Amino acid sequence: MSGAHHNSDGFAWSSSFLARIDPRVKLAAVAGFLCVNLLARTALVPAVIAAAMVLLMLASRAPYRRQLLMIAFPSTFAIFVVASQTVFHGGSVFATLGPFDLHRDGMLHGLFLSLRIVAGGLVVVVLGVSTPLNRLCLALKWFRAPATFVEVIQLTYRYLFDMRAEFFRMRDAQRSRLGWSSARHGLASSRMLGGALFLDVYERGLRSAEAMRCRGAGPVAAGSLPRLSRLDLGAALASAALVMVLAVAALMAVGP
Amino acid sequence: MHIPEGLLPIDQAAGWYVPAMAFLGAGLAKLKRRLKEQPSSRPLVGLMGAFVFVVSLMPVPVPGLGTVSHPCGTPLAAILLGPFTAVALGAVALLLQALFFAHGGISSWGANILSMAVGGSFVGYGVYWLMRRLGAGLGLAAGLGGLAGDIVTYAITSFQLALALHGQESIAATWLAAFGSFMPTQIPLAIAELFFTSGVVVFVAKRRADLLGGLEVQP
Repeated sequence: MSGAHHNSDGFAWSSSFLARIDPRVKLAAVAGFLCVNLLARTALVPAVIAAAMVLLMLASRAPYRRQLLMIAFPSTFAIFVVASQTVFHGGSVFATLGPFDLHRDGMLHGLFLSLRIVAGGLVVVVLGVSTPLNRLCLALKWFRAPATFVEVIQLTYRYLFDMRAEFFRMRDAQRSRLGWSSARHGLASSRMLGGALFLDVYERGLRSAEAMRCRGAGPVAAGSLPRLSRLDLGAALASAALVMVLAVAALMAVGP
Repeated sequence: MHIPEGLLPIDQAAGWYVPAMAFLGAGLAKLKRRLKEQPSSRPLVGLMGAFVFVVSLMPVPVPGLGTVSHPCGTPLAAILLGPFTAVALGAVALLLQALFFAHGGISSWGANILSMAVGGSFVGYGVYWLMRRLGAGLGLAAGLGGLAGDIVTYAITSFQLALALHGQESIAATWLAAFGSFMPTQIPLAIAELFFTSGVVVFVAKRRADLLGGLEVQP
């Protein structure tokens, strides 16, 4: 079972121009955008980053619903930040809500922070929907990430699908035996399911590891990335130029 | 709850990275030795990584706070494989969640490693170890380890949020507000983690005691 269609990795295999850009270029660009986003003291920089990422998301051709779902977590958190800053950050009071004073400056600061959260979230989403995990691992190897780290990423990813398939099979079997008919049964069933899932996936993993070893597969995916193409160089230049312009704008801006 | 991308000021994001990378480096060194000495432990390492990924991705809305809460899974990984290895697995799970679901972030990765991977693993394992030394049964010790690891994870996350967002309020008051807001959902989740951690360890001890013998667990 591939199962890759259940997360952004499945869409990352698309043939959009964004997916064809070398993952090393994308990783470097993402690092640049995220640093500039954190350096920003006014809303201009995160707003430009967010707009650029929305354009790239449209170009990635991943289903919009999936992309909106991915940005849902940062967006809900952004709402929490606006609320908490309106109460805690201080400044002139514009209203009172029960025991809390609501501050105008705090609300503006919260809106700025929430824009930064959404912009940063969009940068990560664009990377996620346009870069298959195995290519990301090759890029990490190229950037000299520890081999054990890359191997654990690959192992974890592989076992996610084994675990998912086994979990649904066992849960359905337990349901058919009325394992969740009451709270007491449910608790006992969950503990049993957890333990059985652990052992089943472990034993399945042992068999597949042995089979892979017999086929001569090494612990870490072999291979390396090809030389950068013209598209990669163009993307690297464009993103570097944008990051530099934004860095200057971020450093010269006077904060609120 | 993982801190999202873009929330932490750059100095704090970088500051959390320093200890997180030290723990991650130690965890990877330990894991490298394990994989070299016992190549057959690869499936277990992958399985635990996947387990932490799945468990810490079960979102439960926090009423009033507008964010979500979830179990951690790192205490169980620490009890079975040791706290340093669990840190490495937690860090990988956090990175994959950020990439696939925008849950957490890259710049906040260091902060999230410290709360869920380091805090959850070391406190979970520490409580388990202490309870075993005090003569508690395997299930009780593992369960309390799961409970403590879960609560401490949220205490650390609340502190990180308070440090970033306290504004003109004191850090302590902001921490109390954030931690208090998590508790209505986190206490039931921590109790669920207690039963789950205990259940898995006891189940494996009954069915495959040989497997636990080769791990960090000392029943």
